[in-house]
Amino acid sequence: MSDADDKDETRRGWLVRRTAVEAVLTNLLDEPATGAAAWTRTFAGIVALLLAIQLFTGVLLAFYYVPSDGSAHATVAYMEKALAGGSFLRSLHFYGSQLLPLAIVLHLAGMCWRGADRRKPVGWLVNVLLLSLVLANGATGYSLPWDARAFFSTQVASNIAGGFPLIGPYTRAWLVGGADVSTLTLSRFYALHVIVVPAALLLTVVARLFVFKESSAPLTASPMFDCAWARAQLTRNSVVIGIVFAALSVYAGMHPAPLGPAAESAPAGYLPRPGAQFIWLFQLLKYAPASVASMLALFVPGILLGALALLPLLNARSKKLRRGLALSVFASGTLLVAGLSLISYLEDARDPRIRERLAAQSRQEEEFRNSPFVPLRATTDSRLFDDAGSKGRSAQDQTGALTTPSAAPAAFLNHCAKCHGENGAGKSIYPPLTGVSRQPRRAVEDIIAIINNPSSYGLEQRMPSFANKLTEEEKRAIAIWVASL
Amino acid sequence: MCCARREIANRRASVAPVIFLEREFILADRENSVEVRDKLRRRILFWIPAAVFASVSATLAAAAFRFLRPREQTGAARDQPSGWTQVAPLTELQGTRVVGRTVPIEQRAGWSVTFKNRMVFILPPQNNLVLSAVCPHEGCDVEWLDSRGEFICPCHDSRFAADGTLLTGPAKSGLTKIPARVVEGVLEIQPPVDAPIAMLPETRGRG
Repeated sequence: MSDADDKDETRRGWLVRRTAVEAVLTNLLDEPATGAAAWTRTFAGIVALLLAIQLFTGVLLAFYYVPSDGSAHATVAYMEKALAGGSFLRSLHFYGSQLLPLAIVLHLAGMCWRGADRRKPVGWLVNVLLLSLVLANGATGYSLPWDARAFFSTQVASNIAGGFPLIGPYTRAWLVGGADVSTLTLSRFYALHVIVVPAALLLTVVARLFVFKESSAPLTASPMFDCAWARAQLTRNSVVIGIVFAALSVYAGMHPAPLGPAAESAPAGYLPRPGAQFIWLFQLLKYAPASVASMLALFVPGILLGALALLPLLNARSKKLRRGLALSVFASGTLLVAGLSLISYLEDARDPRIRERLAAQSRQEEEFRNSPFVPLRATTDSRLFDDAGSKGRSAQDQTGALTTPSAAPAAFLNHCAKCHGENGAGKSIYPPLTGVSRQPRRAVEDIIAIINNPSSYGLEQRMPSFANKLTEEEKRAIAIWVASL
Repeated sequence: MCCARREIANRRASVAPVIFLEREFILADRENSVEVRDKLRRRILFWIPAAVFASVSATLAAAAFRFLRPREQTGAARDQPSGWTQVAPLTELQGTRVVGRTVPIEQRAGWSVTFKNRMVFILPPQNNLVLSAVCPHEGCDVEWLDSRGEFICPCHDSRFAADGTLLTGPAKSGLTKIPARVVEGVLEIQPPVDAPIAMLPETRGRG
């Protein structure tokens, strides 16, 4: 080896010589681009920023969050109220999750405008996949705080899953991990939200950067990296990233992400609303009869994402015509989503009853936010008086447990026992009622409301309303008895 | 329109071929002054991304630092200095035998309050002296050996006399005496706090 080679070797550095760092960096940077550097090409930078924010803040939230029925809400409230920076980080995560789909759609719009969907079909497909994954993560993450907002959106999502013909009950059971939305649902959504979907997201991003590289035009003889272009574009991207981050931070600092009281203490008649990225779907389902709502909820987003994915296949006689067609397909999908979202917000603002209700709910959230943090208290395992004392108490407990439940009211036996059993133990597919009052929103008043209108509580439609078949006294008697089970 | 733009880009590329050479690049066919001006421009262009990256990272890192800072762990005794816990009625503390009791001690850590059972020994012959069972050496629970009238630590065989004073090591001191009092015929203690951890106080705040 000559001296010159030696010198070159030492200059290139220890790490570079031993690893593939240089190859990776070259691979990352050598993607040729067509056209000039432009501000309209900065959306990819915003997507990268938001993905990084989601990953970073998500990991931080996972340091405290505990996905269980009893502790999820307490841990989120602890972060919000007791930890410095907690509210800020959670707000970044919350608003980031809603901005991310928007940023990806804008990036896709830019690509479509430049005709890049046709020239870089693999890159386009990867971005559509990214959009789907980001939406999936938004949907699963919304459940995790386990306040009323989270609980009911989970309830609604599970009922949508349960509404499919034939496979509905199975889909629902697999999604929620049992017959009802419970602590098992929370751990399922948690695993999906923090492991499964992010892993797929990271794989997609890495694959896009290092594997699915494609040049729009065949590479010229020398694949020389156009440094001037990259610098100019990097500068524009950085400026936009800085502005977006500053705006997002200020907004997150001024409007903390919503968090209400725990799901158990949600008032009757809580009006759930999904995250901003799903408002359009929520509005669409309002127009649909209940029988097809589930199909719509699956197929409309499916068709929109599918149309996006298939857009590169669109062909036409001339380049100009093709571009026009592609743009109009893209625009009509976007208009549908934007229009429905707008209508939803307008409807909520116009209807005085809904407006009142939503305002009351956000007042309640605000009140909860301003109240001091109350830690989750484990019940005392107080074996204070090891011998005599505890014996006395456990004897007492036993007598308490052994007292036979009072007999079911006649109205229950006449109307409810057919499905739920004479002692409320349930039969085959009909759920047991024992211990139901320990679940959230199953107080006596709630049970009466369920008897009147089961679907308003998100129950399966198999249970009919008993509003006119029972007197008010009978309903109350049944509810009190069921609550005692 | 698109084609025209590409043509301009191509023309620019042919007029000024750019050669990428580590951190420097030389613009061929240009005069010296142009090179100097471009160098300055490049430097500015480098600082904008660097500044954005640094400020975004700094903001997030600062929030992360405040968020992850260890919190103080508190026991009941520190939460309420006057927190007395009942141990046993005096009627059970008669005779000469040492009495062992487990006392639930409140542990507040972050979002949860739990109870940890801690062992104490009560010595009726010595005016109901209460000793913590925690060996001052490595923190194992000592045992009372009735036959020898001594406390012995199962971990490293430290031995303590019936009043808690150290007999033989490796422990360096006797068993901790726990403040006790009698109220209405019931012995109460001020629960011991686990090894005090000096940490930052619980803060309340946003942002």
